[in-house]
Amino acid sequence: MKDLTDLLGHLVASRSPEDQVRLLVHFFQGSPIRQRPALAILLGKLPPNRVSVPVLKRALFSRIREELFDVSKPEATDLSETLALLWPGGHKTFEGVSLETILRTTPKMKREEHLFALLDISNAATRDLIIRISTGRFRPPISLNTLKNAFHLLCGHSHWDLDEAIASSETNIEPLTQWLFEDGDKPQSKTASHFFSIPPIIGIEKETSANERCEAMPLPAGDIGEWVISGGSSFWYTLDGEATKDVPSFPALRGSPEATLLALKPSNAAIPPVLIDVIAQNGEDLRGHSWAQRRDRLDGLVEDLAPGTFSLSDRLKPQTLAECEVLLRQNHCRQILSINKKGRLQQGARGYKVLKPGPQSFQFVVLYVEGSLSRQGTFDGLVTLGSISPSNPQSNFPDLVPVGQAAITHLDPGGHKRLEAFIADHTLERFGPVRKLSTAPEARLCALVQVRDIKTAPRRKAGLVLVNPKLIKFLDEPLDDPLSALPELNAFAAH
Amino acid sequence: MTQTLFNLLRPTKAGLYCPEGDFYIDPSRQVPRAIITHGHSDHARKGHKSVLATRPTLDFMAMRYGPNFAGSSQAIEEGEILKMGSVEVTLLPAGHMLGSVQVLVEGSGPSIIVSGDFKRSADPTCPPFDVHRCKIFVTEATFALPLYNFPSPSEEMDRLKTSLEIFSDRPHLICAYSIGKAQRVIALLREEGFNDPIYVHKAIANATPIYKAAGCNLGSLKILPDEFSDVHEFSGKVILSPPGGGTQALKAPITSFASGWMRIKSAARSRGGDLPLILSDHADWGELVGTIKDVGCETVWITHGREDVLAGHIEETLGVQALALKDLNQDKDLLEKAQ
Repeated sequence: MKDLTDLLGHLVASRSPEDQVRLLVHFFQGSPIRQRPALAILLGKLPPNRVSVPVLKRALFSRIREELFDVSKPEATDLSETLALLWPGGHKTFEGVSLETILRTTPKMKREEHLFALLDISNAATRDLIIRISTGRFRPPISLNTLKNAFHLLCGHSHWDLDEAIASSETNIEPLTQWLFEDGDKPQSKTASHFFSIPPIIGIEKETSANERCEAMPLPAGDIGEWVISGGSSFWYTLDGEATKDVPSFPALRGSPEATLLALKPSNAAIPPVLIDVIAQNGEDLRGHSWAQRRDRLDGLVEDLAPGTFSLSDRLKPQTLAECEVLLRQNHCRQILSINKKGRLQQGARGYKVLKPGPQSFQFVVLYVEGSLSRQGTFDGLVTLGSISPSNPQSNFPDLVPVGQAAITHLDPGGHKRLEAFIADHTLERFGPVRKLSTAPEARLCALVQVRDIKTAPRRKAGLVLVNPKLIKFLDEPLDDPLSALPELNAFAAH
Repeated sequence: MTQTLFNLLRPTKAGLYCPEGDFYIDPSRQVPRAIITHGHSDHARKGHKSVLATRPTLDFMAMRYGPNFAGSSQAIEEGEILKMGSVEVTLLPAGHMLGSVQVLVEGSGPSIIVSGDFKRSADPTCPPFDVHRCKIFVTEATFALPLYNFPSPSEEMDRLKTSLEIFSDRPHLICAYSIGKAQRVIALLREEGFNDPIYVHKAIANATPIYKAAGCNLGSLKILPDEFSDVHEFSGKVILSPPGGGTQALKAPITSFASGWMRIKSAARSRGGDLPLILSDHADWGELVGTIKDVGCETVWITHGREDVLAGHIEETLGVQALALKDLNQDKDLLEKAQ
């Protein structure tokens, strides 16, 4: 999506909250730092009104004939839209101007001059947005819940956290917008670079204290996959659990000039290990190899580099993916990074789970579905989720223990029937949810569920409770990872 | 001069009539001889005794009304000069749709161009608008309000492609007029590198052979069946249909309407679906004013739309005499004044 105005246009037209969430995820998973003003706007964290409509009208009438406004207003009916569409300049010749571009290109000006200059260089959609913000007529086209849901999904594979963003917004977002539209006699020493020097509101690692926080986020240049690390007075780079003061040469490792390293921490903070894997080398797909074999390849790659560039851990040598995940969790790892077929570093490659201290994804078996058809003809309700309990040696098929419920919305009636059929087919008792599978679990009987946390709950049969479970999807494709087993969940909760 | 002018072309109840050539342009009633600017039904009506138009326009009329849509028909190439009575008639590309033309009428007096519907923005399905200088220019005014300044078609296609990327599991149902707009959307998508098969309603498919005959490659098209056995079959596909094309059975489609009216948010909210595309086959405000400037005319006759707004604006800013054709037709005083 090109810019914020594109997103807003899509959001306004989109009638479904689910669609809005997908639009938001797509928009924000690009380059988050560039979109911090966008977040401010979507949150409605905007400064109070600054420019009056009569002032705007006077400026417009100095550019076009007043009669044109008079005949156009009844057609558009909306005042801001009329002003934006009639404002001359920018017709077809300018691409959508992002707020970042505006900040970079417009010099210090007094309030109104600044605003008019922005309007002159913007296209119609951006003018509309600027006018609405500057006159206090902007209303976010989405609910806070929709935005939270989008960030909930994003948290599954990035460092972003909307709660942090909202908490930080008072200190971080408002100065931006105030600076944009503030009176000319207010601190005008702030320049565009001031905006970029404000600590990012996203990408904050939660575990660190406020004065030791570290950030990892793609910069605008992050489109090429570069991860920039900052925070604290000195930096430590970590690779595979080991730290080095030197800048590790990832381009050398990957033979790619486009990306550098990934992790950061202040020197006095705990270092999060990051596990690196080679999944392709010289065009050879290594994903069929064992972890140990791939680790050998990685050792070989590192061997030729200058001593001290970085070192690989002797501790983290898992043999299987599951073992690797356990090790990473035990070591408070954030993520698995892979070197893909093109030799580029990527987060959570196919078949790999991205590990986060926050939301986690698990695969559960569907035990029971309850709910009703909505007025739109879609199915809203709750899915009871089950985890595989320690197997009964006398049984060939796994026992299931209910672990929680997740809401589903807007499931189509066909999907609902499929679930009902599954429950009917697999329920061994005549009534009630599935307690025991009559066959091995199939992908289509499982659901991918994201949770904020798993906590111990001794009074429950499963001994745990899922915090904020969110059903991501019913699985159609073969299972990438094994189903979440109860001991594993309990270990997670205990940890 | 004015006497000669009205001998060359005059407004009548049936439409613009050329006494010296004895023909009408886009007449609204059945007439002995008609020149048709393009194949849309508000311009191309059946039942005329003789029809002169480009080959695609005649084909569109035959497709819509059957082979006996007129007593006789004659195809003329764009740019070809035809002597009709004491005047010469030339058809110039109008850029509105395949086969659309402006009609240049030249006699002993001033030259007149009747633009029909036209646009200046990119359209891979037809040649661009040909700017030809004239004394009198007859223009449409469908979008003659300064609000209507359209983004470039490629920007709108970018939006569509973005939506296809985000909602890759959903069908994208684009509603567009079956002749002209639908094929333009297809051609623009092809230009943007979209090579997947596109499903089209049969009303759109019917016009496809005419485009193929004109050398316009629309890529792989499949006809949308009347009934679907599998609603998931169209997930991730692009489907083009005229509005109300009976596509309700599609599963959770992203709906879109391609029209210049989508420029205004209130219209987009009520009719544009999930993805209103601002894509018009008519000139926007900037193109209307720019074209009047480009053709260097002394007088403009304006029809079909907000004539009053455009007339007032160009008289004031360009110093060009401007008259609304409907006023000229109905108001005897104004007609006498103009003469």
